[in-house]
Amino acid sequence: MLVPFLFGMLRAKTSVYAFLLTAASMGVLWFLASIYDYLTGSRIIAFRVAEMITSSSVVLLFVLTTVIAAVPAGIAGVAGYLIRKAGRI
Amino acid sequence: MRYIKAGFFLVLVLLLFYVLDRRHGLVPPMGKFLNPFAGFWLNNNRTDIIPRKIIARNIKDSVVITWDDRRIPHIFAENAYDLYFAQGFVTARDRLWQMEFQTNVIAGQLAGILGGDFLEYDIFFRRCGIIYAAENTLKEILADPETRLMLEAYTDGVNAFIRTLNARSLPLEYKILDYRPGPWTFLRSALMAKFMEWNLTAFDIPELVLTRARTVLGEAATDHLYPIVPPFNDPVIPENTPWRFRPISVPKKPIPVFVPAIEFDGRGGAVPSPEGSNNWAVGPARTASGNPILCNDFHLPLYLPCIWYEIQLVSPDVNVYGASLPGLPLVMVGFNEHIAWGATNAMADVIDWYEIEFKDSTRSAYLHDSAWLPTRKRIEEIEIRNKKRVVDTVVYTHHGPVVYDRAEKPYDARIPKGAAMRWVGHDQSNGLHVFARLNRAINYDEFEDAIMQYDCPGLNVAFASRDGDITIWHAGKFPLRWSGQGRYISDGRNSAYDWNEWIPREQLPHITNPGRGFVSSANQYPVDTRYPYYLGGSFWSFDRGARINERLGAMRGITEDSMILLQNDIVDVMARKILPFLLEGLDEQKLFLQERRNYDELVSWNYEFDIDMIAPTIFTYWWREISEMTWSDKMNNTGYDLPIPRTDVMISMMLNGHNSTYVDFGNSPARESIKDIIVKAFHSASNRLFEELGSYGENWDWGRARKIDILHLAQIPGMGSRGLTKGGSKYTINVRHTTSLGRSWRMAVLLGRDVRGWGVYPGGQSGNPGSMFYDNFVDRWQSDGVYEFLFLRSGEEDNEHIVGRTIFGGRH
Repeated sequence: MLVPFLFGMLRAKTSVYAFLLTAASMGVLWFLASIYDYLTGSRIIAFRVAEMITSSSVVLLFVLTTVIAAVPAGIAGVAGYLIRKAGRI
Repeated sequence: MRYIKAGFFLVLVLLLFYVLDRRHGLVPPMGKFLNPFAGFWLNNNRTDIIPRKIIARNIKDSVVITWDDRRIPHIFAENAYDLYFAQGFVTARDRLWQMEFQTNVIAGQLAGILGGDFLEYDIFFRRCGIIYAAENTLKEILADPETRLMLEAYTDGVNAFIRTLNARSLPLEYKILDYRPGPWTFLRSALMAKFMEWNLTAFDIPELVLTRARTVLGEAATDHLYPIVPPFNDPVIPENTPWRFRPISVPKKPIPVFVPAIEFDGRGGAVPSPEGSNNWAVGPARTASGNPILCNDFHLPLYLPCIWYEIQLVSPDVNVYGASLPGLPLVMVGFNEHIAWGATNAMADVIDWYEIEFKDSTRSAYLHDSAWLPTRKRIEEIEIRNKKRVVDTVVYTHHGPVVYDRAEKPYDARIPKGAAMRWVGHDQSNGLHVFARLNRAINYDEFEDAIMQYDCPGLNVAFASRDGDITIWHAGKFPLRWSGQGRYISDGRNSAYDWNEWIPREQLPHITNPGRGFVSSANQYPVDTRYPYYLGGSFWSFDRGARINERLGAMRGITEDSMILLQNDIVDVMARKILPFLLEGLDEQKLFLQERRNYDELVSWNYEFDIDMIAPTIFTYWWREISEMTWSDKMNNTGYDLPIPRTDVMISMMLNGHNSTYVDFGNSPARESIKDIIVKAFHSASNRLFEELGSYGENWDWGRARKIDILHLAQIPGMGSRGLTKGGSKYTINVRHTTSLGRSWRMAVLLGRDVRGWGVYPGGQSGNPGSMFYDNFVDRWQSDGVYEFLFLRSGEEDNEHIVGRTIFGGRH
């Protein structure tokens, strides 16, 4: 949360830009990291956790992991950007 | 406006952070949990990699842990401290969450982890005095230098592992439930002992139900419907075995019989349905090799991770292999280079309930033998997750804790209100000392010396040695009681109802090297009527015990293979006893097409509960209908919701001319005979089979009709094994219940020149659901197969099953 917030505050040019870039960065990062985990020993646990969250598909797990990373990061980026903007008065 | 917008988003960020960082109900903290750098993704099978070296400060010499291809640790140490330190470390490495959670369950500490919904559950265990019992046990363990050292070493080992953990490496369940492990303590190990003691003794709380039945039906009828000695009993100690001791005098039964003032406003309660086990040992005269063989399987609730952890422990004075209990040092059942031992639940009654008369509402004094005795009050502080802790005061009498006051609603409907609980498990005892002796015993004398000191839970312990001896002991600390004492709610005011003495240990039921060449037990009543002491209890019906004795009695030239096959026997002698009688009651000419087919299936059935047979399913449905039609209206009409008598009792009543008035009473317009019920139940069962399983066919196969589930210990979805197919019934040697209860550990040991053992348990060594070794034994368990145990003699021994070694050392 802190990194996207700081990015939004220090580098973003618009709120849309802040949201998209931070959301995409964190989303892609978590998505790739979870893919890496999955391919290097986490297949069993992924299937079990998918069943735990009442899904038989691990695809949903990747989607959820990406969304859980992307959405809060995007909002944190926007918050950082808006705080910088508010401070410029 | 800008400020408002910025403020709004800032609050939204903080809110999201808060929401995703915390557990909500049973939904894990999703932010942390899904994080691929710290969350569940890291609970993967990389934990299966065997570490080459582990540094532990406390280790005195180096320890070698040899791992086999089933991930069984074989620990070779130079001294006792290192041995049990390493046992604690590797057990925690595989099962930390399980061992801590089970002690949380029994100590009444779940609300602090799971939330306020579990408060009543916690209060129940606090009121039962489980922590008090564990403290008493701990005093004894710590007073014995040998067991103190073992416990210290084990605790140090567990804590050494806990110190290696960080947020990333926490076991999965901590991440899901969002908490962290506390330090392991001596008390936690004592609680683990109580976990087992409670589970093996507290199924037997029939006092309230039986007192209720006695009030409604009278004592004779209650004894008839709910007998102490089950019908057709084939005792552990063969009938007519002479008792070669002079009995001590037994207390006299007080007259008149005490009638409690307890209010029967509660409903519910059932005839105790105990968890059982099988064990037997065959002497040299009956085996092909001339060496004894010992077999044992425990029947317990099945869950993942399994309650048992397989291990071999080797140091200069011990080399033992078997099932350990995560949370406790030593091996609980198994074998060494000289002997093997295995246990079944003794089922004897070691819990009594006493109605208490308090002087006033402060409950500071209670009446006993015309004097007001002071109570002791114990404060229990119960943590609740995200809420203020609750303080509960538990009142103790000399009998034990008063679990529920008269104005309270018991969490467990079996508990009488206003009554104190007397439980052997509350007494000071040192079970670790007994198991330490068993682990090291080399002959019968050393075994007997150990078993004579054993207290709780009562066990039938079978033994075999390389010397050729076999024996079985009904071991434990059992109160000396007048016949029937403790069966109903007792008078807490009268010392005649107290436990004042114990059955002398050397006079407990036992038999060594019997003429028939084998010993066995299957939780049945252990003795015939000539045994001079009352044991009480809720014993298992005749079925498994009779079948084991029948088979062993007929077998000659026994081998380990034939014993393993006998463990898989699926002949239901309960069905064998009653089915011919039931079939006689049907007029096959009056049966419709499908009913005729069902009838034919049963006529040609060999009484095996085979997964590919239809007859077991038809029989099960039919018997269920007979039982419901016979009893449900009658027992409900008493107004007290009395429990349905057990299957064996009902069979006895049917075969003995059904002359009981209880079968015939009831308020149905037409009085039914047993034959009427048999016919009606057959029609009804045929209809229900069709409704529930569809048309006659594969769906009716026993294996498909009744699947078995092994759930996760905390019932977390996805972490169990569901829909397993398993033969057997609750009355077969190869036991399986319709619920998640079955053979939790199974072993067969040949005591030859080289001791060899075989076995399996439903689970795997690892407690990590992401591990390949979490449930890798389940398939073999399901198909009734076994593994040969790798029983090593030295740390350097080579074997094709060895997959790695860990050097465990201090910082030298």
